[in-house]
Amino acid sequence: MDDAFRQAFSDGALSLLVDMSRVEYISSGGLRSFLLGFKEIKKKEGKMVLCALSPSVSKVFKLSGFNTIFDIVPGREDALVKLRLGSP
Amino acid sequence: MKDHAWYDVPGAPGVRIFPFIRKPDVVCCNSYIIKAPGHIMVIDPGADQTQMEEILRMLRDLSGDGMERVTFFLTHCHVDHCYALMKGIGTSMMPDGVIMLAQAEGAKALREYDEDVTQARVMGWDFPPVELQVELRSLLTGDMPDEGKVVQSTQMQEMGTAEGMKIGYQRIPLGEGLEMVAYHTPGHSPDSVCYRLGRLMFTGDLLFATDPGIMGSVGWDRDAMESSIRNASWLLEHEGIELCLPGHGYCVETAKARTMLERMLKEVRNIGAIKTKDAERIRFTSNYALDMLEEANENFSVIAGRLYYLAYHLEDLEEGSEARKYLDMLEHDRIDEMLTSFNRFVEEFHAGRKLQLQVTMKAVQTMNSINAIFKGSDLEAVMDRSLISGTSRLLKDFMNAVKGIELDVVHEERDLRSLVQEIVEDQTARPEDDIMDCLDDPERYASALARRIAHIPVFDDIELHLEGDGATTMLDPKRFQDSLSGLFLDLAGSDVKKIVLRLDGTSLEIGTDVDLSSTVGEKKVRALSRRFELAGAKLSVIDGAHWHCRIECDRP
Repeated sequence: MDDAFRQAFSDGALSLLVDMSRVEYISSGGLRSFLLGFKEIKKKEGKMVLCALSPSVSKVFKLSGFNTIFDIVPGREDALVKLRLGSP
Repeated sequence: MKDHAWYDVPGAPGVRIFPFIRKPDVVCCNSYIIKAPGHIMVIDPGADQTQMEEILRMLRDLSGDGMERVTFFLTHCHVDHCYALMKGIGTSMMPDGVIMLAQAEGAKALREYDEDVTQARVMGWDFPPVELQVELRSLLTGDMPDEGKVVQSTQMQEMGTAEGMKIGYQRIPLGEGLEMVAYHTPGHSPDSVCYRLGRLMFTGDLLFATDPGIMGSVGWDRDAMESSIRNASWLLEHEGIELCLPGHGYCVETAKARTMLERMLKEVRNIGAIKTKDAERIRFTSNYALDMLEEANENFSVIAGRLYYLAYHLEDLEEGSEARKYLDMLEHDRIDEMLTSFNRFVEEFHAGRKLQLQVTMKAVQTMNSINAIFKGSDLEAVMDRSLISGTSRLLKDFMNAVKGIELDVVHEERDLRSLVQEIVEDQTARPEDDIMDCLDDPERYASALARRIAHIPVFDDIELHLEGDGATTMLDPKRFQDSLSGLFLDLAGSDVKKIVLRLDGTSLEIGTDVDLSSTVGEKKVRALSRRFELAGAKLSVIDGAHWHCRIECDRP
């Protein structure tokens, strides 16, 4: 995850769509990677939207308060709309 | 003493030893090759085929012209200590004329292929019945070995200790004035012995016989264990032992071994009746471990996530040092590594490369390490009590289940309505907010700010209705609280918008407005049922589509 964010930032990405549909489990290390990625893109005044969270990942995000930090939408299309609209 | 190197045996001039020291596991033990003038010995050849082949290769090289006697000594008959030997007997791989020696009870179990005493059944292994040439007399039964079996001159003797205990021992002459002494140390198994050679003591499984997952095998004897621990400690002190060479893991210096024995003595004195670790029990603990792993993964992700969440907001408020303080509260990276390693292990188990017993033992090792970290953390100030308490209980109950001891359940009479009401209020309460009272005190202000941020109102968007009347029930209120709070968190983590709690006498029905089959699936229901059962209640899912369950409590 850290590598994926690093690569995206080194490619100059300012809009990140993270499709989580194939993620069944998220560890504390995974949460940290998301937060580091989010801080980085916020610093660059970019945007990050997460979509298609599985029920178990969604649960961890909700119970740890991460759902209030991240922009989370149901599907990829919703995420693209958010990114185009430039929501914070 | 390190793996795969020759060492002189202290106190036995001209004798050398070559240890095979493995990372501790339940599928094979350490082995030790000993080279004395005219005699080669192997202590516990183990169960690993590769290790056995290496031992046999070394025996061939060391024997030279084949004139030297070869003796295999078993510290006990569990298959992880001798399976490769049992499989190899009578095949061309074994050199001619080897002597195998074990205590009489163990020799009988191997001769009669006793799947339980040898642990063959729990490992799922089999081997042909094997006749051992030398049987050390059993102190438990007093049986003498059958006529004609003894090919070496041995005689059982007893020595007294300062504590008034008796230690059965047997001298085994090795030639050239050299001798091995076997001390009978039953408890872990009826046939357990320690062997002394010079100032080395081969301790078999004695030093970890009271560990969770080890204790309670078929043949476990608590009283014999207590005597053996006391005797072993006395022997280490009075027989001039320098080093203990265990059946699993690294060698242990005498002082450390005596400390371990002291701890074991306390444990064994405190332990009551335990469940026998048979095949059925191992299946139970292995399934328990798999269910628990899923819960542990989730709980620790949520706990670490909450600390990250808190630190993130504190950093936003330029409270960097406070943020660091909370991130350092729990070594979540280490917990993460341990859980990841366990998850990989479980994948190997599902792929058929690991045994059920190994899953249990890996879970014990992982949860022991996590518990040590978790117990030392101070999370109460910034974390829901129910999350901390539920996680602690998860770890503790599992360890006790593996030990086979009765869990600490305290049933008492409680009115179900007031109990459920308390739990609901506890879940939806906001933490004490005294931030306005401590604006002049930077330290108190920082703590109050952290408490305020750390509170994650997971129930704010959920309607919680409590209806009906409850009766007096008989249950463990603390366990019931942890179980119900855990269920509430499961529901709050899903898309539930409304939870209806309907009381009717000693039963509580919980209904929701959504399908939770993907979040509260089969494993989760099994784990919840187990928790409620220990609390004195029975959980049954009535409808999975619009998640609806009934919790039936006992009447007084």
